[in-house]
Formats: sequence, structure tokens, C-alpha cells
Amino acid sequence: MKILAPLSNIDYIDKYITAGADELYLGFHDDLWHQKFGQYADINRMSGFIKRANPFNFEDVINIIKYVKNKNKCIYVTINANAYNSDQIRYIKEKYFIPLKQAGVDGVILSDINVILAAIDIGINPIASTMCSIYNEDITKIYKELGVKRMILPRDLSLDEIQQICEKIPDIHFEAFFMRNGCIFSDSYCLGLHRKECGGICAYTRFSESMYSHNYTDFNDYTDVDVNDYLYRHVFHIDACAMCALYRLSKIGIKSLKIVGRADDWDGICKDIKLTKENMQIMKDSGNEKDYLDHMIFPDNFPQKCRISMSCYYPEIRFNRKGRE
Amino acid sequence: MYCINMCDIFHMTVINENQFASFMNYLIEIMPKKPNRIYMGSYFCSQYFLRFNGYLQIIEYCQNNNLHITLVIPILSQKDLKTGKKRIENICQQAGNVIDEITVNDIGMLKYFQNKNYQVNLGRLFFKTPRDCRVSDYTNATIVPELVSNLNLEFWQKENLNDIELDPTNKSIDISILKENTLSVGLHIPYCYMTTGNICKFASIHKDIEYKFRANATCRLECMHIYEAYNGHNNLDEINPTIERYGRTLFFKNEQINVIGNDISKYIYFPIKEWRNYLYENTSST
Repeated sequence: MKILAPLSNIDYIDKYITAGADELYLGFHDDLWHQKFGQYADINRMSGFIKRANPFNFEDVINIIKYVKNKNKCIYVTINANAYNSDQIRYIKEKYFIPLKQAGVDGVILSDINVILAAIDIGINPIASTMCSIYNEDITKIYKELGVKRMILPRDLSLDEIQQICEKIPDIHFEAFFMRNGCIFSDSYCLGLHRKECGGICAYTRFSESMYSHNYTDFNDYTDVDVNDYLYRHVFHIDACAMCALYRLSKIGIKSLKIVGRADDWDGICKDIKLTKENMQIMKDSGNEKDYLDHMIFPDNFPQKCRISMSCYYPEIRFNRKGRE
Repeated sequence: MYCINMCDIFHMTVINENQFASFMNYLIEIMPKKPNRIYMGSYFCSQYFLRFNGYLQIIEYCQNNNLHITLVIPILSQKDLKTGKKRIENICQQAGNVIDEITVNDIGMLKYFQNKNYQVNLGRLFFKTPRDCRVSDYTNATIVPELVSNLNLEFWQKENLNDIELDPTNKSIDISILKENTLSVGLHIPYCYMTTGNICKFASIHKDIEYKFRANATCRLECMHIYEAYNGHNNLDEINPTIERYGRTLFFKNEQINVIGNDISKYIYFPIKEWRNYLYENTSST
């Protein structure tokens, strides 16, 4: 199992590797791209947050790839915007894929089938981004047939579903979300702009006033709606963590654990890498899942982080008491 | 051609048969032109697709009124894939020729229908051009949908497609590039979907805290009884800025949409407001 970490500060490459990162991924900005295709044309999912999430230009990326490869670690570049037109796909193929291949990139994280085909054509290893919405075995099979060997599963799949997909379509390097930044919508179908001036639509639904219209008349229904709204806005997936699912993910056959947060604080990411690495060792020493759960190290902000399952990517591990399911 | 999109809202347990017929007759009357097709199923929710009641009533209504049905299939999450395919088979068997089109929303389902005798449409979830009514500069611009420019590329060329479905993302959408293609275009009106996902806020209303907000969890179709409207962003001059949550999905209304460069073959009207109003006025559970 490998730890995949986001890179947005060149000074942290060595720190992440020392902390235990086996793989790094990064995005980039390109002024020429925006001059050609406009300010709303994204290169990757975080382009709207400009240099906060993508501080590197393409030349930096090439240099970083060479540096990381010299350290014998893997590095991936993210080109996973919602959609690309045919001119953009041609541009990606000519201006990005060829130099990335020459620099020795391990793979490119892609969102669009036609971009994936372009990568295969050039001889670059395509990784199906979570934007590809691999929600079931049929979709997985199609990407496999296209030649995709590594896929990132959506964060809104249960562990049982992940297990089934892994069993049905073997020989794929599956990657699962592991730490930081949950998402209350689907990555691949959240089509609102993620930009500085408006923020993500998820944040908007947390902070904006709203009015309900419903036909409930019972007091309990009213309070259920209210509590539900409060938890959704203020508690659910403010942060996200899958540390308790480490043992299960390993048994299922997940090959890479994705720590997200290209716009997050670097020391926080470093801590998460280190904690994951330590828990991987505990997992190796554990005879079974219970053993691991009894001995694992919790994140710093435990127990707040673990409060009522609201930060869990996979709440089914710890929170499965009989209730009103 | 006008079509009525009953996806994700219709559920027979909240209305009786007479009321359903009367609602449909009312809807047909208020449409600018007589519709000749009903969209049934779901774009966004496999839980709804698996459990909505009353597809037989829609089929019967369409048979009696010379209407066709497009069956719309959402992305089925792994745990629902097998059951979902069974449900599709059952619905198609019982509908006979009334269902002559299938709208799919993922490539797995697209392949599933490849050798079956239906016209297959690329549903609105394939159309991933960004849309955001909070950003007026962008919303008021003319866009060329990326998908439209991609249809000549390798992957889509292999597929035998009938329609592509677009959302009213911007004030103006240029689809002139489609003149080189034989595909026809369906346009969803008047709502543009903005975001969706497997985690449903409404489905969690009656669940214990620890079971709330789990992806694609089974539910009581709470979405039939509740919706939410947000008003917290900058007002735009020409586009209604309210964002509304119906089921798992956020929508904004865009009645100003202008499609240029090619004809729209189907206007797919989503009568959510009419449906809700009708329920409030005509059922005892309001």
C-alpha cells in the first residue's frame, strides 16, 4: 500500500518523502492556456483557486518530476477539469503530454475519456481521476478495456461497494480517498465553479440562508429537519478521515491511499502522512481488524474529529450500532 | 417537440390515479405545444429509480394518449447495479413499445444498451460544462459545450447515439458545430442542474445521527415531501439566482436560455413547481 500526497510547496518534497509519502501528485497553472481558452477554462479541478492550489507553472512541474524521480519516488500530474473541448484536448496532447513523458512522469490523472485516449496514444500512463465517476464494475470494466490500469474511486462509495468492485475487476491499481477534505457532493458531477470569488457550491450550501418547503406537520418531523440541517451545515465533512478503515482497505486490495488538500497547510499534510505511515506499521503488526482498531493512533484532534461519525469517509467501520438506518 | 420530465419527482403514493390523470392533463394544457413524450425514471438518484411507484400508471397514460416514453437511468452505484438492471428489464417488458428511447447517464449503461433495440440518448450527466448562477460574467456569456465539440472524437464515434441532452447552463449556448453531426439535441428547461452526489441531505432527515449522510443509503423518499431554496448569493440582472435543492441535486432556474447555431429537437420540461403546487392544493398531506 502506498501513500499518495498532494504537493503545492517545493520545500516540502523532502519532508513529505521523509514522513512516508511514496507518491506525490500536483497540478499547475499556465497563463498561455488561459490566454488561449479564457479565464473560465480550467486545466484541473482546482484551477479556479488560481495559484493557491496550483502554484507551479509547467516548467516547474517538469523540474519537480525530474527531482522526485531522482529520489526514486513516483509523481503524478493532475489534468482533471470537468470538461475539455477538442482544441483543448489537442493542446494538452501537444503542449503537456509530450514534455511530461520526456520528463519521466509516472502518470497523469485525467477526467475525460478522450484525453485518456490521447495519453495512451502518446504512451503516457493514464490514471482515471475521481472525476471519471467509477461507481460500479461496468464503468470500471470500460476504463480497463480502454487501457487504464490505475483508477481513483469516488469518495461517496461504501467499503462494501469498493470491495465488490475490486473483486469483480482485478488487476487494477485502485486508489481510495484517505485523509482530509470530504465532499458533500460527487466530485465528478459538481459542476459549479470552484473559484476564489464564489467558493465551492458546497461551502455556499453550508453558509447561505435557506428556506424549506415541506408538508410535515408533526413536531418530531420539524425537529428532525432542523437537526439534520444543523449537522449538514456545521459538522458533516468539515474534515474527513479514513484512518479506522486502513486495515479494511488493505484487505480489500486498495493499492494507494490518497491524501488530498492541494490548497491545505503543508505541515498538516506532513502530519497526516506520518500518522498514516505509523498506522500502516501497526496494521502490519495486527492479527485482525479489531486488533488494529484497538492499537491504531488517532489524529491529533481526537475525539472531536471522530464525533458522531461526521468526519468519517467510511463510518461503517466504527459507527454501526443498530439504529434507524 | 416538447416533452415532460417526470424524473425524480413522480411517486404514485403521494397522489391517486384520478389526480395523476388530471395533473397530466393540466400540464399538457399549459405547455406551449402539445407534448408527445414523457421522461420517466431518474437522472440523479438510484434509490428513487429503484423504488418510485407508478410507472405502470405513466405507461397506461401514455398508451391512452398516444405519447412515447423515454426511460431515464441514473448512475447505479455498485450495490444497486444488479437490482437496477432487473428493474430496467421489468419496466421495459411491461411498457412494450411505449418506451422507445433510453437515456443513460454513464458509460457503463451506455455499453449495456449497445445491442438492445432502443434509441439511446446521452443524458444530462454527460454534459459537464461548468455552470454557476453565482457568477454573472460567466452565466451571461455564450458558451460552446465541450461535449458538443468532442462528439467527433474517437470515443463517441463508436457509439450509436440518438440525442444528447444539454442543460441551460448559460444565457446563450452555441451548438453550431453540431451541423457536422447527425445527432439531435434535447434541452432541459427551465432548470439547470448544478451539482449532485450520492450523499443525500433529505434522505438523512429521519435517520439516527450516526447513520446520517451515508452515500447512497436507502431512504423513505423524503425528497417527495421537502425541498430547500437558497438565496444567499449576489443577485444577477437577468438570470433568476435562486438555487433550489430537489432530492440530491441543486438546480437554478434559467428561462433566458438562447440556443444558437442549430435546432433543438426536444425541449424537456421539468414541471417541479407545477407538481409541488398541485400536491399542495389537491392532496390531504399538504
